[in-house]
Amino acid sequence: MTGRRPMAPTLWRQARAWQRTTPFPINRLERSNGFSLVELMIVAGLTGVVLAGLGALTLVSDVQVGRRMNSIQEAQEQWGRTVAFIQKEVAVAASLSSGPLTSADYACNGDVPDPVLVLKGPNNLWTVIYGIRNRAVGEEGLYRGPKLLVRCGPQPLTADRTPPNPELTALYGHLDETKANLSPQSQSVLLDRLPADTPLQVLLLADPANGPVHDAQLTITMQAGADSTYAGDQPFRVHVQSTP
Amino acid sequence: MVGFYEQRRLRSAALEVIGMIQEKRALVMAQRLTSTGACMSLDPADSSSPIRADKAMTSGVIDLEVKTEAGANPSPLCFTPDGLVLTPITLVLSSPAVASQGDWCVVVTPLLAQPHLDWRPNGQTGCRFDAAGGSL
Repeated sequence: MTGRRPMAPTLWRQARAWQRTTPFPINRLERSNGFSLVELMIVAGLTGVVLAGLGALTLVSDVQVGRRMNSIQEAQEQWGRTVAFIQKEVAVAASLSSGPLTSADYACNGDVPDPVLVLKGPNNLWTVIYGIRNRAVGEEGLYRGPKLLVRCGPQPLTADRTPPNPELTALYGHLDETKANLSPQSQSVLLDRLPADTPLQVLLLADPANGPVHDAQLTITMQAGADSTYAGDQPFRVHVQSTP
Repeated sequence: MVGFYEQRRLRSAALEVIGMIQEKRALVMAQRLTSTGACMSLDPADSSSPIRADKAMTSGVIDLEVKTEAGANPSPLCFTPDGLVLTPITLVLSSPAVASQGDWCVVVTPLLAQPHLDWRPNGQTGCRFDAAGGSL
């Protein structure tokens, strides 16, 4: 029998160890009992990322809702102020009419608005025109929406008449009588954020052929946002209260 | 990135100024019932102005400067007896403590005095409505 060299058993065990797939016979049940620290850290990290994403989405959504509400509230205030302003100015007029107008009828610079509501003062002393015009080039950042509600006519007084003059007030209301016949008249933008389709509807409530019209129904539609239409597009009436 | 953050911070200050003007407008119109004046100063150095440079602003902007487009102190904002504004006003808002890439402009349109917000990049002399600012 050939004798082995003294180092042979050690080398043999090392060779067997290399051939084993597992260094020790571990029970499968014991091996799947629990997670490693690395696995727990990965799960915790992923959970944190998901929660942070959900929180950010909620925050962004909340901010957007807040901005939208502010925009709607601002639109409502401006719409209400505009309606009150028109009603007050119509009250001191003598008659109402609607368009379309020609450039000769329009005393302000720029394109002739359409549709329009035309206010004539007592004895045709003054004319105020409310109408819709397109937003001009260069006004994109200032005004929102493709259409604007403009007013063309003499400017109001800067202060009360001193001393009070009931005769002038009856003829001109709050308008400056010294600027009633200026040419060109000044044009002011009253409302922006008007949609492209029918932002203003003017309905005279009497036939002009039968005499001066004293009542009209207007509808101004205003967009509070790019994708919404302001619900305040309700028609309102204007009424001439002065008697010629 | 920092410039963008400062730009938004200054924008918040401009929105606060608009709120101050609107709040003061109601006060001026109420005071007009017993007096003849219906104007408000827009100079932050004026103690009667609704825009106070030493007033703590929610946006955290301090030393807010309010000028016209030409760089002058703004004229008082006056209202008609009906609460209207006849002359358009443009205010340029800046702050030396906020190193922004430009200034915000507050534009008050005539008659109904609607406030709008616009942006004037550094190096430009006027508020450009076609710039990236946009309205409120």
